[in-house]
Amino acid sequence: MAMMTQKNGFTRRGALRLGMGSAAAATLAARPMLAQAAPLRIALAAPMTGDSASMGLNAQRGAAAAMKLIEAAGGPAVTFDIFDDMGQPREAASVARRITDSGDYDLVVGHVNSSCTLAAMPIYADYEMPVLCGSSSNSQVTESGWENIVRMTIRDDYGAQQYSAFAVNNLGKKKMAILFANDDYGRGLRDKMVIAADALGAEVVAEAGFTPNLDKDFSSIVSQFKNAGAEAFMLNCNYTEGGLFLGQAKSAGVEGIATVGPDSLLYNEYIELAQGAAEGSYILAAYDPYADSDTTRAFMSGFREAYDALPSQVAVFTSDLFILAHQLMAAGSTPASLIGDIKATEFQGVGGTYHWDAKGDVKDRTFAVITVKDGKFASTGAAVDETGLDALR
Amino acid sequence: MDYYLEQLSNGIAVGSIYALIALGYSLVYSILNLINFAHGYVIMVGAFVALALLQAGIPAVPAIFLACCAGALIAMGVERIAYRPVRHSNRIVPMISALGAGLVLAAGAQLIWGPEVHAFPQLIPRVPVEIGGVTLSSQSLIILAISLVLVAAASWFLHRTRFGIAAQCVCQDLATAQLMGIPVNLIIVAVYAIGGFLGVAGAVLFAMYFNAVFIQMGLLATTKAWAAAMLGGIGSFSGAFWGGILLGLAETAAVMTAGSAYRDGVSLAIIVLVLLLKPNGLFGAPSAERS
Repeated sequence: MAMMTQKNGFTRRGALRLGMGSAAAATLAARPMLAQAAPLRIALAAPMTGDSASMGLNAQRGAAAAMKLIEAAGGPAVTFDIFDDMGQPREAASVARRITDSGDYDLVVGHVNSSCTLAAMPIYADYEMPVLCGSSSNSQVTESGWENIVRMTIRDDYGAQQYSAFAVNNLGKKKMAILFANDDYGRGLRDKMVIAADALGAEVVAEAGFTPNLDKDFSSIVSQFKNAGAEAFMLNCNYTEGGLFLGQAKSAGVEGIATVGPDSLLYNEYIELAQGAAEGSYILAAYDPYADSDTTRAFMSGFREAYDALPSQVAVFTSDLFILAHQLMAAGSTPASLIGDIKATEFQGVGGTYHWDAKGDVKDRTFAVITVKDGKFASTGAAVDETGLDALR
Repeated sequence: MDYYLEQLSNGIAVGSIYALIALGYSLVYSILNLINFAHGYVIMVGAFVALALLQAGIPAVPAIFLACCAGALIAMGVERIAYRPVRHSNRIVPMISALGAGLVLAAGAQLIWGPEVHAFPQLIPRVPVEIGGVTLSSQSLIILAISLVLVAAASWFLHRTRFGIAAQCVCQDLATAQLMGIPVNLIIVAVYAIGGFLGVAGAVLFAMYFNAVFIQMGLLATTKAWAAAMLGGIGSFSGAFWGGILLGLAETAAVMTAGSAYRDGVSLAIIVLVLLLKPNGLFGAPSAERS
């Protein structure tokens, strides 16, 4: 079933695949010496079908963009296959089993959803398969004692403190209403946010969970938040629900309330679905799409030309992970030494500079504060005011 | 107090959308005694067609009319391919083939339009209307009105027109109706077509109210509308209407009391309770099971 649907996904993007295939072939032809060395074989695990399929699409596009850059850079050839975890933990475990059983892959890039990564990790850990994870932010991903994983995104327990601090310290709002996706990701963020709000002297006056990808009606939640006198909406969810929530709030006459959310909102669809109500809302992003660097600018404009879309965090991190793996393998890493080598390195990617701690989390990375201005995302250049967060550390 | 009235109006708005979609189920069920599990997917495709036509620059009224016609055509196609060949089999068989047809429609729609949620243009002005201190959305009032009109029209059509009476004959006994000279195949196809047409009208309102068109809409519409139809008494039009409204209100009440994460759990528990006490639903007439 999963393989079947995955093949369908391939057909739809057949042209893209052909392009990548010929790029890899060109690399091989141009460098006969290197072609003799075995290529780096990556298993990309992402939700290609199902409710999170748009994230899978972004992972695929990020990988395609990375392949172009890898081809231009030279070095060992890279091949990759996509495994569809459908965004479901059960499928993720079965994907992990297939990847490890086949023995055809040097490393895994993925999964995307925290719940999928958590379900698949025990299997990868048994096989000591290196896992390079982009977007799973649940703290358990690196707190479960697995030594074969590194990740790019900022952990959600740290993130929750930052979102709360931004609302309280930067915006001066003391009454928060939390909208959260009722899954590992959203609940994890919500729990930490309540603790942080308490430490900062703010109050969570209302909170509402919803079933991600199923609930589309937020009108009763809007009434609840309004009735509780919320001064700030904290959106712990993806762009779809975030956008729909704001749009439905607007049509119920609830407008102009400060809104703070994570970079899972950083999609053009968020602005579109909110129908004007996203204006002035703040997004704290684990990477800065408007960073003043040539690498970032080139990636953003290339992506926009190819797909007429803003690359999401998933696309940026997938691309950076491909390039990171390629760079280290070119420098002599082996699959067995890769995770250790990554933790010892400093990497300059599209998403900025990364280095990692012993658990595999990124160190010293801060959020970029992005807002919506005139119907477009724009950088504010602001930094989160961390006053009062010391108590939590 | 205002808060409760506001939540009441939210519940009624969502409920009338469920009611409209449940109407399509009840229509097919009342004639064929068959749960049309493909219905939700047919109307999802219809909503995407409406969006595509609107984006192509076709004015709203003809675009929605054409999308409704497309829904009718697709429903006729489903009837021809997935139902007619198995009409005389065990009742489980058409149910399974309907689910299959639904999955094919969902996969096809994802190939064409992709997995993302698409925004739907706001065709009905979406302004807050204040009535006696309570803020209601103009859209939810209009949706309630449209839903009432369509339920009344469908009821009139089935009980008062020649076509409707012929359809009821088909319902009572297919073979005898055929012997009496009623064009059975034509009637059945027409019932599906009307179900698809009305369903897409409901789906477009759904898309406008939630401001979203998406693939899973098919499944969502199937589960919610089916639950509403069961609650009201499947096969009855007024039952579909009240079932929808009650489901909407139950969901809103669940959000207010137990928290939004328990919305579906609480509302479905209410339905189970109702069906335990009244197995035919609130408005369904008890009827002998036909084999």
